[in-house]
Amino acid sequence: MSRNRIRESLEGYLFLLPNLLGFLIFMAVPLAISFYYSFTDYNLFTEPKWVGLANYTKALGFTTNVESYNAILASGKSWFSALGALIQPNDPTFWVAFGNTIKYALGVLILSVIPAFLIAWLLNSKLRGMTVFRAMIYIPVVASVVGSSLVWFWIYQQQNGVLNTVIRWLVNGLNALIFTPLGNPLADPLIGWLVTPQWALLSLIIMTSWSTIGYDMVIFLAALQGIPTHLYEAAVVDGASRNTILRKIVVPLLSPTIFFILVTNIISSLQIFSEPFIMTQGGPANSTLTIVYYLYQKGFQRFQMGYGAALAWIVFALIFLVTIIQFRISKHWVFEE
Amino acid sequence: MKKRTLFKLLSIIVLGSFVLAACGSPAATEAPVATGAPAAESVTIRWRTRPDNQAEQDVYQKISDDLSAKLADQGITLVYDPAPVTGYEDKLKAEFSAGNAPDIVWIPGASTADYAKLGVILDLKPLADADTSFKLSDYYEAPIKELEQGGHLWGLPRDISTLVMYYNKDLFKKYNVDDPAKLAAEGKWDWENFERVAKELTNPTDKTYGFSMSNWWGLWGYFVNAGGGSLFNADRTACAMTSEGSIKGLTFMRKLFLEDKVATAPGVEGGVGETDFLAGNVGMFPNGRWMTPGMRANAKFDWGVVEMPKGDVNASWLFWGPYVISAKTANPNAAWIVMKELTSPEVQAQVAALGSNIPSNKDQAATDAFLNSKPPEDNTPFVTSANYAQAEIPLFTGNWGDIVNGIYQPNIDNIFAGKMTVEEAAAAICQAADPLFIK
Amino acid sequence: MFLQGERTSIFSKVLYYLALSLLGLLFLYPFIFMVASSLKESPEVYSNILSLFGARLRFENYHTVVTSVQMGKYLLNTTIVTLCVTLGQIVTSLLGGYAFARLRFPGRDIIFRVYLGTMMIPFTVIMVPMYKMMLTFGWVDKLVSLIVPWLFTAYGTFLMRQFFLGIPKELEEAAIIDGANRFTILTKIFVPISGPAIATQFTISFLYAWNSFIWPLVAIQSRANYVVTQGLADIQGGYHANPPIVLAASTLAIIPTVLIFLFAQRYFVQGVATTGMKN
Repeated sequence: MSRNRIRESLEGYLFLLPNLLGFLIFMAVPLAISFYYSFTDYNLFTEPKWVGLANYTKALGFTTNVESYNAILASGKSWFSALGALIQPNDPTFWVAFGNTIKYALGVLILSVIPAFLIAWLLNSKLRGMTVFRAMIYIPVVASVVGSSLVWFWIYQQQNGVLNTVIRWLVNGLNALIFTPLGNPLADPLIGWLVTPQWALLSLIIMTSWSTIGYDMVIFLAALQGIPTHLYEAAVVDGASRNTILRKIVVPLLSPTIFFILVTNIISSLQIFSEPFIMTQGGPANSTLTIVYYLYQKGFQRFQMGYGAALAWIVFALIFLVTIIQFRISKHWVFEE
Repeated sequence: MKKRTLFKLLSIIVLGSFVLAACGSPAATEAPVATGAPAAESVTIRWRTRPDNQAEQDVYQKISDDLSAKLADQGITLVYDPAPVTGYEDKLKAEFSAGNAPDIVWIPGASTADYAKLGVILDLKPLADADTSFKLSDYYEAPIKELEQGGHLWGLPRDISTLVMYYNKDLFKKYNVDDPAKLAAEGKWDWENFERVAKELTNPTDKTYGFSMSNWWGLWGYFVNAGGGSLFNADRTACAMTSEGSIKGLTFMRKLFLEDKVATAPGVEGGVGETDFLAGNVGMFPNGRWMTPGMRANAKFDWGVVEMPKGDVNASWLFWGPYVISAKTANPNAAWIVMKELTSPEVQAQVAALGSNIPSNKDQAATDAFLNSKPPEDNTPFVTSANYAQAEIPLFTGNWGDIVNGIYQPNIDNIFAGKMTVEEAAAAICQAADPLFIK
Repeated sequence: MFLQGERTSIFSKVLYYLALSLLGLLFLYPFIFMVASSLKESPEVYSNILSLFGARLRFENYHTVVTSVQMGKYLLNTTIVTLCVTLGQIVTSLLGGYAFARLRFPGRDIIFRVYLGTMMIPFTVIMVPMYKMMLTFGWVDKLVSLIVPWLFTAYGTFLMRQFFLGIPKELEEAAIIDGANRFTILTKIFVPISGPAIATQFTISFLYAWNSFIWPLVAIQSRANYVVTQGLADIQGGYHANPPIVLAASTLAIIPTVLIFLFAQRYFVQGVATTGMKN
């Protein structure tokens, strides 16, 4: 290399040094250690004991149980229902957490990305006051989960919380107007938002979406504002309906942004921890147990650090895989100029 | 030029904070750790306990200050290091692994086994045996028996608390329902009458309920025990939830919630049922003595306590938690002295008088101090329950977190949610939990 | 929503503003609830949950929060930590972003991709080794542990790099011909026009540091060193029977972040959008 290039390289490293140093000491080293832990049995106090792949097989593996399979067959049931007894996961709770995490990610995707886009579409106008509304939608993003948790407890409280009070009021109103005269009054559903397994996960999803919609919306809005206005004018002049404009012009032009939002939202929602930790402690009936929270339970609360580390690496592998898949698929639908 | 200077200034600030940070700012250190000085010099013992609410917290702060003054002539200063209620044990575990846990710390009885097995708490037997003025028999047998597992002595019980039924006297009067205390005096406070009373208090128009409870092992465990069953078998090597008594107890519990509908849905630990009770909408709420200071501060209705209703048998829990000494303490002897003081009749009487738990020391003066701490007007249910209450169980034969929190609890949740029948849940619990016990 | 070239009636405009106002209020409702309930008495929160006002406005709740709970100390700790982290992150990101955007050195692109990859790593993966590291350095229970490991950020470096890539090369060319060194170019040319990016970085870092909960929970034990998030969790435990107190504390905890956001809104939104678009 020429002297100039050498000099440039040295300067490059120099500028990068604080960054790189931090990365090496506080990211690379812990990563390596955590990787090592995942192959050990470690309770934080005594020396780690090497166990090879045991943690990974415990989390991801299955055992076959031929006796119970035969027993169920003998009792007359079909082989299909016996199948559940034949192949049993080594750690059923892991798969519960896995399923919950996937559901959480999908839920946030639907309840955050789509509304964010629609709201951005709504706010994309030259009328006055848009900044105010944009701020109102965005402010939930700055609240910490701890800070807003008690409010959400009271919104979701079963007997007298905000949501159920409003629902009760609506039900009473509807009954008075329509249903009681018909002789068939509606019952007050009294939904147990945080206390029934059927609703708890959805309640947390709503809570998370509330604080992420603003962030997604702002990005969509900027992208929308980047669309040249003459495209709209031409379309309007040609008589295109708003719907067509949306589908044929806006979405394709916005596809890189949509892609970015999808990737970042999925990455962060596969790691959800604070909401289950603070609001429901993984319950009721493990319905809000996410993988990262399960990892915390095992590693930190129950002194099974090796297993916790293995779970953490499994999450990472999952995120990595999902992201790669997204990148591959993006070639088919993301419109690049 | 200006921007460049500004930037330089910023860099200096950042680098400066690096330096400052690396040196560690003295202003931000925590309370002093016990020093390794010999007994003649001044020694500081840092201690901590877990009060249920702010009112109880204030009680212990006062105890700490009083004891510090009392022990000043022995050269011992006490520093009370309060900790948050939420995540109390998470934090403690972090501190144990850092080696900077308080010298004396309270832990839930059920967790004793975990810490003992890890070797982070001191075996007090040598200290106790060497101390001629100390008598273990001064304390209630039940918690001591648990603490003496394997020929050791893992701690001294801070206090005991029995599970009793708090009830809203105003609500009972409003609906003209039999007072439970009266029923108990007549020997009629059983599950049949309990169910009846709860139904009479439940009124959909007024949105009142007969009963509510928090959803942790203390509460559903009561139903299991009172039905004649138990959580584990006698030597704690297997799950006993499928026994006839356990099933009976759980079935009754389920009936109250899902069929009679006299109860609000139990929430996750500590929150939901208590809110409704404190607001005055619920007739009965079982809890330990630790709720009393909070009731005195916040309840706006006339209330009392009564023993838990009798199922097939009388059942209650003897909740207890020991003070333990950190294995890494620099002053085990001073810590032992403080430990004895904290569990002495005098201090326990003080704590009891201020409303908190029942003394673990059998001394009569201490018990009297407790009985005279009102409201509630009649404290005897706490003490009479101690006669048949089952002591909280530290699980030396398994990991409590994995077994009870990880397996028992979610399946019980499913019973409340109506997703599993009692038989299914019990079977699932025992099937999943049995392999996890250490035989 | 309203496209250029469309003619809109007064009626649809009014409807539009109405819909947006409702939507905005819906999003703000939890905050409205927080402030309104913090001024009530405890039973009023339960019995009259939808009302905005109780019997009277109880400002003494805030007094209780500030005096009997060490909220002031927590705010101070959090401010120190947040400002240090934010400044540090801005500096390292500027330096690093410039290196990735303008300098050529061996391994540059690989290192950059690895950086991006680290954004996919859940914090919990490295939490325990980090904790052990803090033990070894003796940083447990000190504010240092909340600052030094967080002085660099992959996301911020990425942000700056994208931003710098968008700056036309002509701007530096004159300075290079004049013989200026790279540091001068960075500080005299890039930094002055990076206002939006720096403001964005500032806001993101500030929010992240201010609201971080899990790491302080693990790394800090003594109350004297708590940050606001831990303090709030603590208050929630001690006062779980007294919601207005907890809500007053939550309100106090949230005010700084809201103020920062409102103040930096203009630049911040622009900056966030830029990252989102050019990735």
